[in-house]
Amino acid sequence: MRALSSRVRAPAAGRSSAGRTSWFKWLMLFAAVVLALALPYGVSSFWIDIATQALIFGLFALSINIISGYGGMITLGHAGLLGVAGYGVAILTTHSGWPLGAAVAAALLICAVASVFFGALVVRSRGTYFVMITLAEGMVVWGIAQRWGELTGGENGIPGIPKPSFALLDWQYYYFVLAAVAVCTVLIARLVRSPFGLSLKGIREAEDRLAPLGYNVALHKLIAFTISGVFAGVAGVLLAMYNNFIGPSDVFFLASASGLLMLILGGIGTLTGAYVGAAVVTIIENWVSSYFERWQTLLGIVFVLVILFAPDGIVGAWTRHVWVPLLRRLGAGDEAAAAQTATASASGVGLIAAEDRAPSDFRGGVSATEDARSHTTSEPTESDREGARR
Amino acid sequence: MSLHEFWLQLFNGLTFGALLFLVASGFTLIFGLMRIVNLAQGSLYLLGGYVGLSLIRATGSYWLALLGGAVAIAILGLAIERGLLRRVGGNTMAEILLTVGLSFIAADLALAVWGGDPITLSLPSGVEGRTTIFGVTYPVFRIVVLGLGIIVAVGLWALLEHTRIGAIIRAGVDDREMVAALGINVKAVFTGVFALGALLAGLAGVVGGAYLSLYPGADTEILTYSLVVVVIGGLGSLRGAILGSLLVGLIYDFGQSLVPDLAYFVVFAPMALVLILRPQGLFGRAG
Amino acid sequence: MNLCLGTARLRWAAAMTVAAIAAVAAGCGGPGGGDEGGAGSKGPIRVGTLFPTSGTVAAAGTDMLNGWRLWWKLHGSTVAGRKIESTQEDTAGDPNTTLTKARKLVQQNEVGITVGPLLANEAYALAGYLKENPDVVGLNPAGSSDDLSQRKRVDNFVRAGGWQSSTPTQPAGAWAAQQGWKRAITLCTDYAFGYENCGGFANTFTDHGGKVVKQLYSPLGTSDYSSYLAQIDPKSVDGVFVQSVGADAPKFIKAWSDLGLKGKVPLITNETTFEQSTLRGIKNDDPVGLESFGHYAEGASTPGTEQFVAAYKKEYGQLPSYYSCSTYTAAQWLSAAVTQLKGDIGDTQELLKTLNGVKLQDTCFGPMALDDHGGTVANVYMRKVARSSDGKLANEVVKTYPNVSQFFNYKPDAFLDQPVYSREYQGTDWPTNCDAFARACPPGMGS
Repeated sequence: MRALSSRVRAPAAGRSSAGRTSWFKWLMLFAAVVLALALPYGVSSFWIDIATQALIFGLFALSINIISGYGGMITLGHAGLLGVAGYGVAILTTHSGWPLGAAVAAALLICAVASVFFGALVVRSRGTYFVMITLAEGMVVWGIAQRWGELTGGENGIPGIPKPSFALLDWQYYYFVLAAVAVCTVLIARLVRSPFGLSLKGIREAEDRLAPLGYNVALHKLIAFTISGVFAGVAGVLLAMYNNFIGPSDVFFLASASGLLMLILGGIGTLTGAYVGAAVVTIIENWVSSYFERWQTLLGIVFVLVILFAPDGIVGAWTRHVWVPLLRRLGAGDEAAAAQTATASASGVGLIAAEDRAPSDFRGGVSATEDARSHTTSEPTESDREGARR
Repeated sequence: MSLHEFWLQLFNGLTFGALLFLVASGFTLIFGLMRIVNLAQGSLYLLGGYVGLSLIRATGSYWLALLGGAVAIAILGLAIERGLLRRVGGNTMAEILLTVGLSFIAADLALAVWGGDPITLSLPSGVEGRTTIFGVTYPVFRIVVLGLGIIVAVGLWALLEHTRIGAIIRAGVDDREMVAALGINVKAVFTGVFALGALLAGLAGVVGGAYLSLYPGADTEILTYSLVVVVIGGLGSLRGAILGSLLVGLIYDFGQSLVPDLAYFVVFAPMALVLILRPQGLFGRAG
Repeated sequence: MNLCLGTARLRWAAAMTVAAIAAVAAGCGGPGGGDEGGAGSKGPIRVGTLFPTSGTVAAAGTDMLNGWRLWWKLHGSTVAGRKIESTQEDTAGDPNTTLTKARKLVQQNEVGITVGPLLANEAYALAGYLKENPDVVGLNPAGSSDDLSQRKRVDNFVRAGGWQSSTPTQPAGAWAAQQGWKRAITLCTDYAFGYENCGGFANTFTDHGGKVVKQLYSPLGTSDYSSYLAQIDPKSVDGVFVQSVGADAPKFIKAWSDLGLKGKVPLITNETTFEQSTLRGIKNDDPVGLESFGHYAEGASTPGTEQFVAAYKKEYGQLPSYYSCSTYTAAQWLSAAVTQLKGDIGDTQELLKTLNGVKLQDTCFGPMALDDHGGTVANVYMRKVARSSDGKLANEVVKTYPNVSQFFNYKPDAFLDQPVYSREYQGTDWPTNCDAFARACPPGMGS
């Protein structure tokens, strides 16, 4: 169990190392921005399509990252929140004739409320129970979408969702999505590095220790869940407008699993991992599928391999094998160490989640025996770890 | 609702519940001991059914298919646990996601091998017919399914309560580390339990293949119902699985006819209620 | 990459990104769009097929692909001097995927003509895309949503070898009433396709004096039909109309027999319940003798059908479903149009006019043409399931209704004034007098 203090120290270390590495990172960021902006000029509409989808699903995966990656709570129902916003904007524009801007705002508000509601149901759970309940929540949304025909169009979904008037063409919409996603990513980056974000990581690493320290763990989780849900809602709104359509398949369990998959593939606990993973999956689904009929098997195999051999995902592997050595060569030892531990903590997500050593506990408070047991297991010795890992 | 309809719905609910129990019991067993949410349980069900189909095509015997399907999936389960799940030992998230990835692969490969047409397994003539109970005509096979569910329930109960292995499993559910500390080969027990859970799923698949037919998507359908069952009944509890299956089966059938407009909610509302009021399920562990 | 940036820098970065994007987007015009593959008048004709070959409707999608390919195999892929090049993209039964693949086909593969998709939601999604891209012509052989040729017609989405969900079930209602049924129960799947099927039956059944005493709706993906069938009391109805589709159909068929209703209560169903793709997977005799209404019958004795069935059986070793016939006919339809235009399909309006004017006598459905609204006018068969001499289950024809249009006996305008069949509107109270009928006003309707 690593102490929290090294977490806090990492960003500080980064900030204080000036010179070449900062400049290098800025260059990379700039290059990425230029590439993203120039994309529509270099490739066909089809690839603009793919890029737009990758960005939207990347944002969705990133929203999952807030609670799953940084918060360590795995969710399998997030497509439900994406859907609440997506259906919200669809219903308000097509059934009620609202102008698009108002509909989007209202949809996100409804999504926030839903996130609070769903979050409240889960905050007192941990580990696999958390997963199960989020799964159930997602399926409830799916059920409503599929069955409440008058409202949601049932199986047929809701077509005819308009795009913003300044983003009607595919490349225009691409820029629109790029801007929206960039803003959201920056906001999420700030959140993660804020004190709130750090306490979230604390919850991931050592939840039982935070309550005695005076943190209202349940409230933290709820806030994180809500924020995460709202960003999923943004992705939902972008998706609904992109397709001019939303349907039950957008909120089905597979959509939630897909988002999580993209995150894991790219690198859970990192900012860029969500986008990398989304890009890979989108390309397989839309491009590889034209050439290889068993592409779904391929997707499954890729996924299994990543979980077995590279749980840090693509970005994690890249950080460890390329970025860190590069940083070392550029002479930024501290920087490299920080990046290393950042990655390691990313893979620490759920690896040996403390809550899974003890039998399930649903109340936020902990009984005396529970307490004793968790204290025993939170000071790991080699044999302890072995036993827990069986 | 006439008396006739009442009996019909009652039989329907009980027999559907029995089928659900076969799948959900494996799911809950695996979770109870190993804390693995086996999201591939639906895939194991479907693969079991398809293996049974191939066996029927090859040998013409449904009973052989039943046995073969169960055993084949048990072996598959063994392979999955030893080859894959163990490698990520203890990492809950990895285990869950691994099972999701496997379910993708299984579903697509099943489509490639057996095609997408819905297929109903043909029953042996002995159980194909109908019988009349309480003035209600009812298919014999469904009653057999109910019987099978009862046998499995009793068998599992006997295993857990009256055998040494069962005691070890129960102890492992309570306190994994202790069991290991006592020198018992916990790994072997885990593998065995997973294989048992898979066996039950495979068996359910051959049964379901004759009852509900096999097709792409049947895996997700049955998994969804299993999840409802275990959320209501409580993860890791055999009693919970029994009660949950009965409840879901009865609610499903009576709900369709009493409140048809809310058919879907009727199944998911109890789950939602349980989640809000008693998240660990009716018989779940409260720590 | 670890973005260890201070808050000031972050703000700066965000502002710059947004500003840059705004400048680029607002300033210069956008990049040139992808070449909208016009079909032109020389070179190959590129066609993109959108069939769902994976997912829950994979079986139907594969049938569609088989039917499409069979036509070109038998008749050669050169028409009026131009080669037909066909690219298949899997829609996976999902509207999002359908749109992405459609965009890919049009922009990347430069197709000028699309064929498909299958499901209603996919079809509506594609219709939306086609509306935005009037240079692309879409052939719709399988998407049977009524409104696509009624109230929500998209001009460049043509029912070539297609059908409408309620077209075969409207004659069914009239037939049932003529058999003397006074009270009927309908059981359909709880989504648009189900509503349109049941609506067609309920509408005409009630016109002829029948009463629909109960309408049951089962969700798509019903696990257990027995709970719905339990609500059918044989003593209180003269007959039952059922629509089921896909994987639900065999479950319904089994439950109908299992609960002893077969033979006890008269049953007629829609097309998809006793579809060949369903019958293929059933080994026992549960479906034998049961009747349905559809626009296709494997056992029809029209030369077009017989030829098609024989050729399909030879090529694929099984009897063809209506999915296969629909895409086979779409290929036939396209061929006819291209031939008529002597290979020059560069003018989209001309092409559409020609496609809408195609009249085929010998399709595997029998004769087929389109009405002024783009809906099909074709045979409706009353079919009965029988086991053929080689042991396979197939639909034989009991009765043929020729030249049935989507408006049945109604005046098109009166029909279109009503809403599309839905859960709320099943036509049971309409019409109230003979004015709405173009012909064959039922006796007792008043005037």
